[in-house]
Amino acid sequence: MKKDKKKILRASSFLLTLAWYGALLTLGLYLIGSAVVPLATKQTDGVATYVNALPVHFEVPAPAIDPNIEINDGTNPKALSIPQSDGIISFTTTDYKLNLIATFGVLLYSAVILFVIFQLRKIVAKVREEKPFVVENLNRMRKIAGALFAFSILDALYVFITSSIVQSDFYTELYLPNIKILPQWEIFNSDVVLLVVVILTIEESFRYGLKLQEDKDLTI
Amino acid sequence: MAKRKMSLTELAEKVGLTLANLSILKTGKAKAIRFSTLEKICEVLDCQPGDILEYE
Repeated sequence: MKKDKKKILRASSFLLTLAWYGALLTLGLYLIGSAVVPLATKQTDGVATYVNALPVHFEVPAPAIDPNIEINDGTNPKALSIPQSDGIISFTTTDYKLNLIATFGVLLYSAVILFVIFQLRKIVAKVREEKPFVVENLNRMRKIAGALFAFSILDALYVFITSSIVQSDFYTELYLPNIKILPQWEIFNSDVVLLVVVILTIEESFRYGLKLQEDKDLTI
Repeated sequence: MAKRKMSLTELAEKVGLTLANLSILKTGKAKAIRFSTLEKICEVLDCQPGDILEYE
């Protein structure tokens, strides 16, 4: 293998290792924080307060414009709005059930991220051994695609549930007057599905590479 | 090989192949053989390609 390729693979391996331990550290810090903060607030304020964040689906509607206002440039005023989007709402609460819901979301995202990084590390390790076209790598790619596909569905369901909770339980009209929370069921996260298609296409190419490798190995 | 009283190991050494590869050839699992390999085997065994290849 050429030196440049070895350097690139070594860098990839290093970055993935960094991402792996970074993700584990972040998850650990979050879990410790979510336990420590309520204990600390209970000591100081007498009641446990949870600080967390939930993903929601929202829209920022167009502001109402007074039709009697004339704009001097001669054009009619045009309504502007921010289209529907996904975002994170941070909150503090004394209700531990919301904390559980937020923690479940963090564990879900962490599980997928850690699983994908783990599989990628194994794939890169095999490539560094100059054995990219092996059945194990193909199976790992399929597992990554499967995990991301399952995640896209679970994520859509989770955001739907959290948006419903935030809309009904939070005083969003009071605290977020310009935001409209929309509990909508979007079946797939289209970006993730596109990524799954790309991974499966690459996996198919690797499968052909495996066949060529086998033919080469059995050519005496 | 039997006529030349040659073992698989000895043949592999003389032809310059590994024992594993020669075993693949012998058991019929090989998908292809290079002309250079066939030439070398025939040279060592003093035979024709037709003596060691068979179409079924």
